[in-house]
Amino acid sequence: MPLQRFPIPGTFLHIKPNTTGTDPLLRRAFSIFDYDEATGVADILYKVLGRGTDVLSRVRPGETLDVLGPLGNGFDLPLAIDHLVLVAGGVGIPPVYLLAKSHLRQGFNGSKISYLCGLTTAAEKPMADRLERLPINLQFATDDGSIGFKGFVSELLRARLDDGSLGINPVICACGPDGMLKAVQAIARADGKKCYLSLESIMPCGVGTCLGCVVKKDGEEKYMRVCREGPVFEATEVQL
Amino acid sequence: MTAPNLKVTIGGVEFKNPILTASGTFGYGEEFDEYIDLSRLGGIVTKSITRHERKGHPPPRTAETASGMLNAIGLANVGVDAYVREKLPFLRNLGTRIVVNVAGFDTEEYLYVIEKLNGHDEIDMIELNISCPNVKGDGMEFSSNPQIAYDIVRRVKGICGFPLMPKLSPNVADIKPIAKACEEAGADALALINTIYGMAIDPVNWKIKLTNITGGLSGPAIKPVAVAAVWKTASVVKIPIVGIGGIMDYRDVIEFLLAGATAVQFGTANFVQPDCTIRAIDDLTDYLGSRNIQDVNDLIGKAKKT
Repeated sequence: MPLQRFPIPGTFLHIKPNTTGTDPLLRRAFSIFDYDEATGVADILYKVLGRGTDVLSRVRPGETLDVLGPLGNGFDLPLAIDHLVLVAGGVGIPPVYLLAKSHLRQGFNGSKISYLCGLTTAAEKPMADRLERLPINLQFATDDGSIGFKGFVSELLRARLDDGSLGINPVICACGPDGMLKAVQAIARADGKKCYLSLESIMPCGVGTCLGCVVKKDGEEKYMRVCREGPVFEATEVQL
Repeated sequence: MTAPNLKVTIGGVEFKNPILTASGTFGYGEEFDEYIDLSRLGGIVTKSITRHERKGHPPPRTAETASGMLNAIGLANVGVDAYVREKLPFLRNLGTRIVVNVAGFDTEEYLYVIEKLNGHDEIDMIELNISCPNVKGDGMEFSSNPQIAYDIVRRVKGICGFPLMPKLSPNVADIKPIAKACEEAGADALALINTIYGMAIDPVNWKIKLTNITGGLSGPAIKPVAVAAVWKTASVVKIPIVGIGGIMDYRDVIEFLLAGATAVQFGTANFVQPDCTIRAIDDLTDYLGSRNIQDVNDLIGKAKKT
């Protein structure tokens, strides 16, 4: 079934791996990567890591998947932003890619979008190919320096903030591995910049009931559900 | 042919069908309102409530295992006062039975929570979670010892304004004497099983998957254990049994009824398929019709020996 309208960037699809049995049992959550308004087709991006993604990778064109969604709270950003800074690490590319696309679609000036894309090495670049088709400032960081900046994407963010090329009042939106998010959170905190993080978590239910996917609220003895209150949080809200 | 009867009676309470949702897998009901017609359910068992709000364990709280999952949520809940104030009003006019699961770490806590619930007539039954560790009795579960189980059920029954259904743990050598003790103490029904102790370790990074180290195993992986527990319990008690453990569809419902359960609860299946209960009600109806069985009660305890 096609998605009826452009999804809110940062929301996710809860997909049941196609099995006739009960292993794997639970759905897997994937941020929406891309959306085609003409066909209503949504894309996801994933790496085969476990049984669930392995089963998914064997799905053939034309097969039907059981999908719940879009679920969760995505990026809720105004268009009146000085500079939109998107930081992605590895398979964290999707939610911020869709955010760039969504802002462009609403008339936001692409010259005020910077996408900092972190990969381990140039061999991973194919998964970032469609980023190059957007009229935005795209810069890569790789661990081995095989393309772009040599180092972590958080270090690239630090450098770009320091050289002033991200404007005076940027809004930072990031998705990626925990270590990267922690580094981006620390940078935003140090510089007093507005920052949103799209979190990943194991989500058994995806709809707020199982209380399995929680993240600790910063400064309070309280947990928030990544699937319901998130997966996008203000960086100041969460303790990673 | 007229539609088969799906109604079952447990502890004097009539349920429109034998399909309920299990505590901890269905929140306080409201989370599923947008996915299914709640009024079609036999009943909703709400998440364990305790005297005070509990934040729960630090994450990770869950891990998937073969055909199952481990959880160590830590009885996270809003506490009985907020439950009465904020959650009960939604449950009031749903047109389904409301069973409130109550947990506690000592006898006083159970009594306190139930006294707070007494008088709220939107509640149809109490499910007593006696599978949590008893802090005063060296951390052993209340339901791991017949005498302890008897004492707590007896005390609670003395003040409880609703039919009382203790929920039993499978983590015991023999469930029969515990079930019997609960019946003798005045329990109106029994719910079983709660989750089975489990643990999982990542072979790549050597990390234990749950922060709490161990958790409760649920899902299809535990179904045979639950079916056996229902069968054994049914052989020693007269009160109705509500079967729980890995139920995914109507075939599993039939299996539990044949083993001796009067009704069942869907747990982990709600995570996989939010409308699993509704599908099972429809499929169970079709099954009874196709077999020319007029009354779902005719399945209870009818398993045949090979």
